[in-house]
Amino acid sequence: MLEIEEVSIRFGHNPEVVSDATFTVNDGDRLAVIGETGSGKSVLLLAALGLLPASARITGSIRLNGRELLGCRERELSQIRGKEIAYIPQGSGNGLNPLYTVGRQLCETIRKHRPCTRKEALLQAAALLESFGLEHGEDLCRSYPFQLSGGMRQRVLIAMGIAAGAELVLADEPTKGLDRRRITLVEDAFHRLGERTLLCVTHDLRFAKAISSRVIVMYASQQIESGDSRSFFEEPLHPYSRAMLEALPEHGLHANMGFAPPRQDQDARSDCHFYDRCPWRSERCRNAPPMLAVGERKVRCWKYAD
Amino acid sequence: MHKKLNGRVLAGLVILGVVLLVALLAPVLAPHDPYELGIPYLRPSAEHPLGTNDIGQDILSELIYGTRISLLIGTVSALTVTVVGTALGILSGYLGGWVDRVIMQMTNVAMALPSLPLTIILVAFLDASVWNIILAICITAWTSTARIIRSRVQQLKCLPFVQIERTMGASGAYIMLRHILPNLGEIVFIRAVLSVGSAMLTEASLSFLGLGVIGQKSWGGILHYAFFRNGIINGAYWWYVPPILCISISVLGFMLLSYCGDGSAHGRDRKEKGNAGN
Amino acid sequence: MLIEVQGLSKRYRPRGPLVVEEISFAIDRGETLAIFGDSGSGKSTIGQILAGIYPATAGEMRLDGQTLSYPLRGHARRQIQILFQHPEVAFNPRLRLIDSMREPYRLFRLPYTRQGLCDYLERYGIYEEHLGRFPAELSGGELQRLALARAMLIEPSFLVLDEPTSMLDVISQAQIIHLLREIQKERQVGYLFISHDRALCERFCPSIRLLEGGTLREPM
Repeated sequence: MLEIEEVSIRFGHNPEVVSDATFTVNDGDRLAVIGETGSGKSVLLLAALGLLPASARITGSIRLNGRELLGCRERELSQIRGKEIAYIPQGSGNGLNPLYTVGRQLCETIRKHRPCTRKEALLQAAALLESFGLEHGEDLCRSYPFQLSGGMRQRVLIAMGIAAGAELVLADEPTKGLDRRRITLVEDAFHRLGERTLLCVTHDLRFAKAISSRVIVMYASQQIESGDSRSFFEEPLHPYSRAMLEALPEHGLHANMGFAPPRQDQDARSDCHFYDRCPWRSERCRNAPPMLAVGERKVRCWKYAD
Repeated sequence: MHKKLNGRVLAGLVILGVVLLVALLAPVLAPHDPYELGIPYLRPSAEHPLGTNDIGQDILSELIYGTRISLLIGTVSALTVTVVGTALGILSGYLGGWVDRVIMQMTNVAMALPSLPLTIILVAFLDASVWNIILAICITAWTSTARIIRSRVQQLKCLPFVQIERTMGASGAYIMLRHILPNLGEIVFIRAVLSVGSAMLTEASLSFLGLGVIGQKSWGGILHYAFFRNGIINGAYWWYVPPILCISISVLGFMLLSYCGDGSAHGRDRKEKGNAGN
Repeated sequence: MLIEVQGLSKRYRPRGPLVVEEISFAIDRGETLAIFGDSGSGKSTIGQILAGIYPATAGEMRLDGQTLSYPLRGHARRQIQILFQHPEVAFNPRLRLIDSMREPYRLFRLPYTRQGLCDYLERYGIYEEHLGRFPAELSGGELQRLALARAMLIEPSFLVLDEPTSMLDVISQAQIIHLLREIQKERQVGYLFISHDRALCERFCPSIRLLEGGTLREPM
């Protein structure tokens, strides 16, 4: 459905923030892109939406159902966003207009992409809200965003994202800044997306585990591991992925990896980007490792070369 | 900090550079003594590129000397207004409580005053010296700067880096000067630049009404004579059009300069990267 | 007891609702109390009152038996420091980090040498290269470690940790927690740890409380 091929992104003359990202999101996939702040995951998502600022330089190709998105005109892109791609913004962000009722905002989105009467749209909106576990959809339509709790607002945003009938959902850190209880509600809403294809960028491992069927890990602008969700969370391959899982409070809150060295120019490096912090490093890690296949999974680490 | 200039700011800088040069080099540039009397109502010619007025003074020379007074009054008033407005805004926003209430009451009163009539009355009562005109302009003009600075300071005050200074026992004055003020840089600059423009306009209005600095050439003053000595009725366009253009272009110059910061390529990049990283 | 809080209540506006109500707890040297609760439960309010950022509406707080009054001054001011949730705004964005880090030296008249500061920061994983930069150029984890280093520079006996890791990735979170544990062992600092993550609280310390509807209780 969504094919990302050799995509590299940089801002102006700064070093690359995404280098050579290549992956496909198939119909019905639920893909989580995991990485820390600055690993380039959000930039990649914005690139797929065509929302990067003009100073960004993108090479490679991003195709939606075979159609090239890079270099598309803004008019076409805004048609595609909403109708074919739904976008769910960050959890703590205020994606709703405080001056209009929830119903009005939902109807607007519905009618923009599928002409119908106000009344029909309102019924649809209410049904949509109820399908996300929000009770009394019609009452909810009449309320203003400030009357809702944070968790409700986030679910309304998710409903609004897909109101126009998009089959591909892109979510940018949907749990950022939310507390555990609200994260659970968002997880629930994501499960209710049903058959829709999902690409979700997050730094929240628990959330990724709960909602994804496949994961990609990014570190310092590169993909370093990809594979199906279950085997990843059972046995991560890359030393960075392992360190992440071990650092979870429920897995012991271990901090057994060194501090990252000051950020440097990733372009100039010829060694593995993880070299300075890697517990397994050896001489051959002076050369950048390629993505190696391990069964169905892939990992960027020399340890799996043999 | 290295900043690339965008087109608008560059245009503003060029305009203001020219205006400043003209003001500084007035005696060199002016073809005649602007006070020298000659043949009245001359049309533009090689001798008098913009013609002469009703008592035969060279209009180009008047304009060139007029630049001095417009620029002086504009910048000094703007400087005063910005310093006063910023100081009151910071005090009011940071200290809150009764200080805030007193300053905001003052602001409300000053805002409610009809500024041009008040300025006119003040100038009429005081004698029309440069400093009295500046005082009259400043008396109502500081309010919007104070308001804007105050609300920004209220936001800054709640940020952790300010709170942490407080928990480390830094004094209020220290926090305001070292941590609040530098973070207001861009707003203060923009306010200052815009105030120059509006002060120049007020000065022009005053001079047009005949309340300008007595005995000194100013753009508003030229307009005043053009209007009251029938220059406009007689169709002496060379008399009244140039001062209007001078006022508009130099005010425009300051307005353009106020785009500094928000459109610079460097600033935009940094912001984007910050957003993208989240 | 290092810190004793009794009957602490807070409302932000006169006649407004009570955000926290009749809170009492005590924390000894080298101990941690973790408070967890959902956003809006008032947990940050408790921390910020203890750090002397807001006055309390009612209740008493004591440090080493001495009653604390708002605003904190002198000895008490130095003994209680706070670490906030958002590391990206923990430092003045207009100052290079080296200048921000000099602030505590200046305010508390500590002997400063650049080399001394760099040596001190080594355990926090911050290097001289970081110090020449502006806050926007560092990651959240780096900034939070630096903020912790700044707070510890003035050797407080009590530290309020207001969700210090909730904006960080798991590895940075584990690193901060690890540092906090080491520091506590060495200097017997008392912590009030505030978080929305129950699993994290349970891992971090044995005594945890749930804040719900403005009141504190033992979690089930």
